[in-house]
Amino acid sequence: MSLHVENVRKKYGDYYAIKHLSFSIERPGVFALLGTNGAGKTTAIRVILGMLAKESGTVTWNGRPLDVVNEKIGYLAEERGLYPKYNIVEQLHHFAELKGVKKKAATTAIDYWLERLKADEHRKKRADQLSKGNQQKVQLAAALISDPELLILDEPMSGLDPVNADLFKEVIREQIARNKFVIMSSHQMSTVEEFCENIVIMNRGDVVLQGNLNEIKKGYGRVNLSVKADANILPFAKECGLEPLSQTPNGIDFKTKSESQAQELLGKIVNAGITLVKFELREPSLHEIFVEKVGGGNVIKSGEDCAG
Amino acid sequence: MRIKGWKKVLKFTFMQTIKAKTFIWGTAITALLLSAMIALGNFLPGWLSDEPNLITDDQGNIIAVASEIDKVYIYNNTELQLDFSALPIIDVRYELISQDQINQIMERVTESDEAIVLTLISPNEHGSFDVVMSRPESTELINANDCFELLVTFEGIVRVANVEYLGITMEDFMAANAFIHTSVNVGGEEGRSAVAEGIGAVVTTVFSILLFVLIITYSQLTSQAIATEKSSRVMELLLTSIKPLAVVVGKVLASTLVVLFTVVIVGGVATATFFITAPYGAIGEIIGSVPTDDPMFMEIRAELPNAFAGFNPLNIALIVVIFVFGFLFYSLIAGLIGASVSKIEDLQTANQPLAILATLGLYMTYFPFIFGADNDNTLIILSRYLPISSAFALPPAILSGELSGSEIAIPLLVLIATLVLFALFVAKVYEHIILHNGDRVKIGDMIKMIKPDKEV
Repeated sequence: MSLHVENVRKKYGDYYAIKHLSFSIERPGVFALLGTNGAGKTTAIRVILGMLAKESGTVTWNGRPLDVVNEKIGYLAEERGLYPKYNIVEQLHHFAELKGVKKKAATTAIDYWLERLKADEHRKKRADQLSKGNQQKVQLAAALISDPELLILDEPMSGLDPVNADLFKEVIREQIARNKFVIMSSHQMSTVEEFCENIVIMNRGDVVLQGNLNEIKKGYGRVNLSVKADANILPFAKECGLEPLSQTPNGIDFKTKSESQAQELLGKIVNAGITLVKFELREPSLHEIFVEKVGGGNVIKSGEDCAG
Repeated sequence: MRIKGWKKVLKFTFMQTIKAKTFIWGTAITALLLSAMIALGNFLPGWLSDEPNLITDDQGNIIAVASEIDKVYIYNNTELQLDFSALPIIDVRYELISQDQINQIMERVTESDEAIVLTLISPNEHGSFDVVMSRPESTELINANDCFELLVTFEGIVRVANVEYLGITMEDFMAANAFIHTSVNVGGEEGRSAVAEGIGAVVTTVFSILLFVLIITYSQLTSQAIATEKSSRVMELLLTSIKPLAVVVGKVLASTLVVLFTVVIVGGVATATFFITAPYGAIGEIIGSVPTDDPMFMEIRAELPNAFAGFNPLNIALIVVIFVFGFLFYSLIAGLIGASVSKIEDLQTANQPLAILATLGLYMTYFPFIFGADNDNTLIILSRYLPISSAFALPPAILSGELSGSEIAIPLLVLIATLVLFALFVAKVYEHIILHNGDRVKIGDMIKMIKPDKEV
């Protein structure tokens, strides 16, 4: 199984919400769809799901045009989307039936997921009687009751407390372990880094970065330096041509041009007999890469660019 | 297929609607109110009238109903030899007075607490007679109905005396005044009487208004259901399982089923009330379950079969079909309206054109009847062919048996064709606007959408 999105364009009037979107998911796992507010992520998801007509491009699943009606696809929308005045179990049965799940199997799945997501105590309630977090759980259950092969999660952790966020992460891990294809859109970079191997970053309808996350980070090189010592190391940093980015109780952060520059600083600190508490040289985080690509923030030079 | 899953949407929407407390209470209250009105219509005339005071003969047979009036003072200013021997039979004493006594008796009538009246009989300028009865101010003793009942007797007395005065026998008089049945036909074919026409006009009005209320109320269920799903974002979840068209087809058919269900429930309760209470009052007299000698009721009863000449299973089935198609037409419009708004608060404003359209259809149907237009009136004929009004106009016309096969078939085909074309338009537009958020989508924008690759 595989998902291919090729040259998809979508416009509203004269405005292009998606100028050019292409990516492929060749094997099970989580694929991240990232971007600022208004970048086109939700539009992209809706176009992939066929809810919105596209100007051009193709979306294929297993070599055939993706048809949500006939494929096992689960979708967790960003915004709460339940019938406010209907009982949640009855709604889940309806959604399951629409997916073609037989009644007995639906009952079993609903019972399982409500218990798994710790929402069983609410089964007699209407949707408008639930908190946002619990509604989110019910919607996730709705997305999963048909045991979909392709699961699309739009901001799944939005509005969740840490306990429920961990619960959702467990479920996502279970789906990965069951070889499901997951597309996740999120603003929480730390969550994305936990799960996602491949990412697409969108900005104003354009793709500004895509690929394997590890490869992307390697491309930047290990240029983020964080140092904490018992004495002032700034003079040594200045000698190495390093300007501090920030100073916190956790240490001083620098952006190096190369690993050798960092090692030069390390040598000077050691030779000065200063006790080091922390000396960390790492690749940029996804957060830093995201900020650099879609707006504001410090410019991260890739390792090649910084050779100097 | 683009409508795959519509049955599931229909079933869920229908079940959730009829389970809702608002629907249960609303239907129950409507059924109760309607039944109460029918029962009151039967019982009220009896409750409002006093218990009749019956006069029996020696064998105990009822020979008359006694009047509430104790005594009547009569001034006869005519040349007729009036025979008042009928008055004692209904237990009314009488006394003939002279002109001089009129004022004095009038004073007694108006100021005393006696159950007495003054009756003045005099010729009028039209060659007939005036019989004027003056009663006390207080209605505790004598009310207007008591006087009218006695006046019926006086009318008979004066008429008999006049016949004799004119030298005509009573038999010839009765023959001359026999009821003359009138009717209108076309080209020599059997037509309907004025009474039947009148009944038909009433039936048309009631039927049209009933259908209008059903269509305008329940078609908006569709717009509300779709707008709610859109504003609550459920629509996004639904669209991962079914196509937008399946949603609107399911919703439209569900609201149709809801209205039929409601009609069966409310109609069933009302019909049962009708037949349970009929033997006890006015409606019973009309339908013949209660004996009556009221000429108007007798005439209405005689004309009922003529007025409802089209009341047979086939026509009933046709009426249901026409109503369903008419309802579907309005429901599709309502569905489109529901999809055009992004917020539920905008729905009321958005539904106004639908209300105007339905009201126009209703006015086209029954206003001509109100003003006595013939069945070949242009507006009446047009109302049967136009889809916005045919659901109101055709059923009562079918029920009264005045339409030929082609006069039913052609408007029905026009309605179906319009429905199909409109459904295709809705199908094309709906998929574009169902997830639209923002300002309400206007009809001009929708028309642009049916051109290729156009979007709002």
